Amino acid sequence: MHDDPDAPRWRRYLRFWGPNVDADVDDELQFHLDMRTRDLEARGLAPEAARRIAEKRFGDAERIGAELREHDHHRNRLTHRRDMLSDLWQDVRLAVRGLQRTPGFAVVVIATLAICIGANSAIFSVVNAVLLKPLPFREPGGLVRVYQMFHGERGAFSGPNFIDLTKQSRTLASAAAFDDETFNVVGTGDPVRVNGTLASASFFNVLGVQPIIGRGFNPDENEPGKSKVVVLSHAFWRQRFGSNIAAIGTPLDLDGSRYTIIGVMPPNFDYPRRISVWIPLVYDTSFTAMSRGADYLAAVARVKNGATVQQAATEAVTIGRRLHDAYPDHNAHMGMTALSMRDAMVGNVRKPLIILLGAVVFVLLIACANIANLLLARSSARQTEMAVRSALGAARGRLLRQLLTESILLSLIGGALGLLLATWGVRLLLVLKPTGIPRLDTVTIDGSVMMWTALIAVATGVIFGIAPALQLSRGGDQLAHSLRAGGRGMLSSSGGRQLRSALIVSEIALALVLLTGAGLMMRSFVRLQSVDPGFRSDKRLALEVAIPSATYDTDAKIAAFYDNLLERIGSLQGAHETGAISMLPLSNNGFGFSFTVDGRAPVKPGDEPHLETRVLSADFDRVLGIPVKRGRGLLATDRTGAPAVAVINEAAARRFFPGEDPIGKHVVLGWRTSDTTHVNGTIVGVVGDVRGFGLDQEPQPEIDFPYAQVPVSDMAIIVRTDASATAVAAGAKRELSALDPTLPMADLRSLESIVADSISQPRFYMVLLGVFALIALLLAAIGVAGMMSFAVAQRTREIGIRVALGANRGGVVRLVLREAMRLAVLGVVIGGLVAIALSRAMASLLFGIGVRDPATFAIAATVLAGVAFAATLLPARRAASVDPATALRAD
Amino acid sequence: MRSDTGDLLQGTLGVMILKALVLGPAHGYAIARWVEQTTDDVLQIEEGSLYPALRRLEDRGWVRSEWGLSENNRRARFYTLTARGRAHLKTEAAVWLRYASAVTRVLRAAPAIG
Repeated sequence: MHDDPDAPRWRRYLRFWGPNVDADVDDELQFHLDMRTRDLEARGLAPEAARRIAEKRFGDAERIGAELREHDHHRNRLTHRRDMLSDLWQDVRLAVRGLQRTPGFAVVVIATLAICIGANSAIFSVVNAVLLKPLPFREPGGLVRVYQMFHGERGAFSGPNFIDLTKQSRTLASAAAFDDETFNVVGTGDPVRVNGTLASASFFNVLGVQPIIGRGFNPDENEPGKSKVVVLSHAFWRQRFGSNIAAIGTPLDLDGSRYTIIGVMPPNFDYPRRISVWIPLVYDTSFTAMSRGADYLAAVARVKNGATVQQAATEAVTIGRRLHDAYPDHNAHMGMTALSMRDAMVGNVRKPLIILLGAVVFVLLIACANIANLLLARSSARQTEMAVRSALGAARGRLLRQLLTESILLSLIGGALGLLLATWGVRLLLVLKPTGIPRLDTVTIDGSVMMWTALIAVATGVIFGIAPALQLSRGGDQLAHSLRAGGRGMLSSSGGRQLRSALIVSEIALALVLLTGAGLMMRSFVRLQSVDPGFRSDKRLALEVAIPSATYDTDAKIAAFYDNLLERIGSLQGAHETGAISMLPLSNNGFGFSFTVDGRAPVKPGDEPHLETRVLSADFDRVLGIPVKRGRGLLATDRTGAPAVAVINEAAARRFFPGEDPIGKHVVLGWRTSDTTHVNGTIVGVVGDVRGFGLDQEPQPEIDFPYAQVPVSDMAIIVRTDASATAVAAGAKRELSALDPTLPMADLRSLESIVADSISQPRFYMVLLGVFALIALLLAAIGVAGMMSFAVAQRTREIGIRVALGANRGGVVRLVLREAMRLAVLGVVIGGLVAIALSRAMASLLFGIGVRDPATFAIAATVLAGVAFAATLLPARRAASVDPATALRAD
Repeated sequence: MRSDTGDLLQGTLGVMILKALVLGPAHGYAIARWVEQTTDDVLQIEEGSLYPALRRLEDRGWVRSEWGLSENNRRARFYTLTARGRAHLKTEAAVWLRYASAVTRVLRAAPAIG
């Protein structure tokens, strides 16, 4: 309450933004008291006495005032909310009614939006699953992968270097080494071959994931003799043991050795990748002391609380340098580095996925331009409606809001349908089966995808709706003017036309950027696909076989087994030739050894050259169509007892025997078969290069030995056959189990599919970019055609006059085409500049062409201009057929 | 609202306010004056309690309010009886009158109280 009734007057200005509840309550009560006081004074009371009695009669003014204020504030909020809702509801109803009046327009717009927003949701769901979702580990931000570097490239650790890392590090809280192997599982059920990981006992603790049943490794289980325990993946436990808890404590035979099952990991845990069993890495003497030069371990570590990944990386470099200096023999070219777990897992797919997301956003923007143009065209028909509503007192803001509600309603419906399309589209994406994109199997339409879709839908509605809405709701005067003008005028004014032209130009520019990007990917892919892998892949099937060293414990047994198997499979119906190789080409695995050549001066241990090493069957070159360039290939006569032989590829001959004949040279590898013997052989031939590490990778220098002289337990059988894969698979399975029923059967794959898989990632990116570019092209064509049709319709009268004044039909067609091509060329030029700026980002994705490949740019520009031209032909012909008499009588 | 004011008086206050507004729109003070004069100040209502009562009536849609100018040219909130308020008053008054006349009859019945 205020003693001076005039004091709070200024506060009334606060009512400008709505009722001022506090001031109103004060005023109302004050008024009452003042009136009572005045009446009492009129009866002769002294002013002070009168005021006192008035207050007494009123009661507790403070309390009542507070009560009223609270009540009024509450009521105000309710009223405000109700007003908002009722406005919104009114807008939505108007919007629905407006769309019902033009169902064709609504269907076209919603369909366009559903496709473009759906594509966005689908790609985002991939980005979300692969890049954004937290990694399935505890506090994944604190995890790092540590790499030993060799000649500046990230590689594997040797045991002693890993141990030194853990001893010297001050930033890492814990670290684990691991190594992937494959195992034959024999026992209950069919024999199977599974991926397994040998890991430090700390492995699960570092990752922060514990078994859901049983236990992880005890700290002492890396010690020799204590390491025969195994942790199962959830999937393997389900398949092999029917999710039976009694499996814990039971034995499991891996490659003929007996392990005890101690635990089962949670269902979503799969590290490093597609692993069925984890067993302890044995820290025996060869691990801890002897083999500093044997690099085969991966390392994962968790940084200490308070330390950062960056600090860990800096420290790794320091430790690497220290180890390099301390062990010049083995660590001559060694360094160390660390990457965050996230970068290590998804770093190489981040860029292409972001490019895809960018591309699909571009497509959506093109759709926005198209729809904005449609709305602009439609708005000329709606000016009367707006003018009437404006004349009836609707404020401009209110009209604007109503128009935006219309576009957002459209985009929300489009977004909802798009989400449906996306659930289907994601499945379609996965059909392309790109290999090597991690976590792709976790792609789902989840909450974040829905959020993204909703966000994008609203943004889309605003983007395509804002310009037409502003245009349409502009100034009451103009609208009133348009009423008088009979609903014509404003939008055929230069402002409207410029806006529409700008939209078309930007649409063409965006389409060109997409077309160029897709073109670069396509040309790059064609080059990649036409790379000669160095071997024939047609009509050749591969079957990976592994035999347990516990049973096949001598070289003779192994060689006899493969001799036998090759003969049996070779005699199958339809099998023309059979061969065997220790590692399939394009499998992305290396098996490299240092080597020395007899008669050459010895080099320091760390400086030895390396050769990729393969073990082959006799005549393998013939089975795969690899040319023998000099000397001979491996023959059936190269057996135990015969002289040890080897063949090398041309890359090896060029690199290590430049200017001399390698044939007759005796090579000794760092590969020991026992404490005293090394794999060795006299070179008897030079064969063509095979790309073992990807079509985009140069062939590595390679040396091949006959398995009859250097037996290995894991081989891939290759069959050249005209028969179907299923027939051969059935026969091969029969022969394999006849030979040894404990052996698992791996998948039979065609070499063609192996080659195709090796380029499935670029193919995935190319197909998606191609589809987006195609949609963009289509949208641009529709946009140009729509815009020009509208322009022709608007200018019917002008064209009629021109024709009446003697302009010929050709002239009219040229007039329309010239206008369209002016916009198209402008769009192409702008788009070209943008494409040049953006294509640099694609550099790492391209093979064999530059990011500014002139041919691609030229083709993209020509295609786009051609499409714009074709899209203009129809409206141009309509313009040419304008009948001057009808045109002049119109309106 | 204040708990020491009985339900009977609460309801009565509402009815009285509605009745006061039958004459036409009035501000709170005018309503207080009207009640005071009509009852010869018998009821002695606490004037402040008028306002929460008015808010309740307004919430139920029986009266509405708007700001206007008082007879001495001051800004005042005027309350108006709504159609619904009038209907409500009618039923409420009927109930009240029947009740009052019943009580009156009981109290007047023979034998006299003395």
